[in-house]
Amino acid sequence: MTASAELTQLLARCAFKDRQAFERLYRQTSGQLFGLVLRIVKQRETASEVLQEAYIKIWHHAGDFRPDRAKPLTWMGAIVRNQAIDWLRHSAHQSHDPEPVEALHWLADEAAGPEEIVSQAQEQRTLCDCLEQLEGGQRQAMMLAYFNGLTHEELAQHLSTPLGTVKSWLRRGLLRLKKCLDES
Amino acid sequence: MRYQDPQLAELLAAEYVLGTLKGRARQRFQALLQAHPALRSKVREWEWRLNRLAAATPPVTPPPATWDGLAQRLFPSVPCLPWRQRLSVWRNLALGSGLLAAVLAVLLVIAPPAPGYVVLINDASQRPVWLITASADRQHLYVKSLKVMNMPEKKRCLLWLQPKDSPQLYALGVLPDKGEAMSLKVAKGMRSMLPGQLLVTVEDSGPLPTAPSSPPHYRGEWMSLDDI
Repeated sequence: MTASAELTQLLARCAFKDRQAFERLYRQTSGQLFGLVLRIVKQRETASEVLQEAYIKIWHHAGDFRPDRAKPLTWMGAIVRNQAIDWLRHSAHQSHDPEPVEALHWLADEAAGPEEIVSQAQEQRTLCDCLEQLEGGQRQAMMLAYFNGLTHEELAQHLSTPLGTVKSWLRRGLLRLKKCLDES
Repeated sequence: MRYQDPQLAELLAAEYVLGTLKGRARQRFQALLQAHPALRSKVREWEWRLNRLAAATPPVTPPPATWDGLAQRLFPSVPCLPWRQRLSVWRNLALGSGLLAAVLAVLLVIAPPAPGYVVLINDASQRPVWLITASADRQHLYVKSLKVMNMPEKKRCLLWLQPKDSPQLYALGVLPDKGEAMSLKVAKGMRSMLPGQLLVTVEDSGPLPTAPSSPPHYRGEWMSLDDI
């Protein structure tokens, strides 16, 4: 069974409140998902709470997962990212401190390109090809927003670029990405 | 905002998934998602497009406390372990173990009316958690908590009666969990169901539920004192 098929089966069992399946699902996916949370919510302890909240949603909504619409990890990743972004966007946490530029050099360095961070899987390859077709600023703003949860204002500050420019980079970049992905 | 504008809807969905919508715009968008299936499917499409990036993040093993906390929040049964491990009829434990005397001593103290039936409910390590006796007229159960349990907030252990040869469970009442003893009145209609199987589940505080919310954490069979 492929990893995806196994996760799909585990989610189906979770929908019937199978705790063992849930524990296995957690064991198999929590590393990937915790990595995702940790990029956005820097403090380990808070990230752990955010991860718990996300898994609670996964447990309660496992029955909503539709394997014909999404891969299990994509579906779970969306729940986890939403939880992390919600936490970050909560007014009490607005003093979010963006990661220092040095730590993001692989994103800032245009020469490095996105392929280094995207695995070789075909779908990711396509995404990677499409990202490569974006202009440097568009791609960089999008990656910083996705991986680090930066807001428009934080992106503007981080990239030393006017807010209006950052917004239009994102909008044009997203629409171009959509066109490219839909065509391939 | 004009959410009907397809391009605007597209961009809002994209920025929502990307995470750049914030504050009231994000909340408003989340509210709109509930009402508009078309918007939901746009969000799903963007999740499909962008979340392939998620796999590009290096995995980080979460601390063990994350799972422990999660399990405790979802399945508040930490004091109670999987039921197969937990229960044995008190006789398995008591006979020949020296505990019988203690059990009988407790019986004498907490059960003023002559007990007709008795059950001892054990934990996974075979330590007794509750001693329950029924008065001979079956009107009262005398329940003694033998172990202090650290119950999560707003949770309590509930005692159920399953009559012989019936799938139906009937709530008898909330069990003490701090080492105290108490008496539970058995509703008239349930007296004829005694003795039956006793089950314990962990439930939210509040009104007694009509059915258990989870499989039983503990169970025990009544023993007639005549059998000892």
